[in-house]
Amino acid sequence: MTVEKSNELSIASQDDVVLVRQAVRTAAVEIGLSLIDQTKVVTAASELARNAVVHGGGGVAIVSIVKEGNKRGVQLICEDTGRGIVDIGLAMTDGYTSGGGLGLGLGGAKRLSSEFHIESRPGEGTRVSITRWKG
Amino acid sequence: MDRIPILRIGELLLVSIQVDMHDRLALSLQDDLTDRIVSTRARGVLIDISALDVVDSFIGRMLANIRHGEDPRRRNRGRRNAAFRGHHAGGTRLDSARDSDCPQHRLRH
Repeated sequence: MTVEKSNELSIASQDDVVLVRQAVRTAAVEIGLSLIDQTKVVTAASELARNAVVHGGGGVAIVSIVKEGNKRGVQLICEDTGRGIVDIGLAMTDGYTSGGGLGLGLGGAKRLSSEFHIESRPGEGTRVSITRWKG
Repeated sequence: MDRIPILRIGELLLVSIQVDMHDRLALSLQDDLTDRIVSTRARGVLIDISALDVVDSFIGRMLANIRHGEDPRRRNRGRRNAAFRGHHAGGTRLDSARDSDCPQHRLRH
């Protein structure tokens, strides 16, 4: 996977969550994702950016256009240096929430993405990466 | 914009969300709407979400709370009718997407 273009945003507040959504939307439009796929990746981005603010105490979001062979995609990496997730399996479970959402955030983001990777170390932070490929 | 306008039309309240809401704004709308429902004794609420970029889990929960009258800070205020009109992405893209990807949702309770 090669990165064609990348944009790093700091995410410290709820307003930044909106900015991450907009940046992901712009990238998704640029590679010509269908409206439904744009909406999927933007919704997933919203969940992950919010998690980084609410649970991770802020961090960075890297929005990229990536390429692998002939296909292009939108990638979002959300990284925070918060308290981390002790039980990733539990955090991925639908209906589990330690915040104010529906408890569909992480699991939902995974279902809305073509690829999903999560790494977390308690006390050190969390890094989630999603990619939505075109086609 | 710090507040989303709530319009009264007879016995109904109309809310048209025309900005990309951050979470705090969504919560203040939930509070304002709960207050207005009580003060106006509205019989129904119409919320237009067609301009929302996405409905993620947080906004979804807010809409569900409004529909069920379950603001955690103000319980037991009874159930009410709520209808949501909207789709999954920006207003200008509605027409091309309406039939295939984004059916209009109408929830009645």
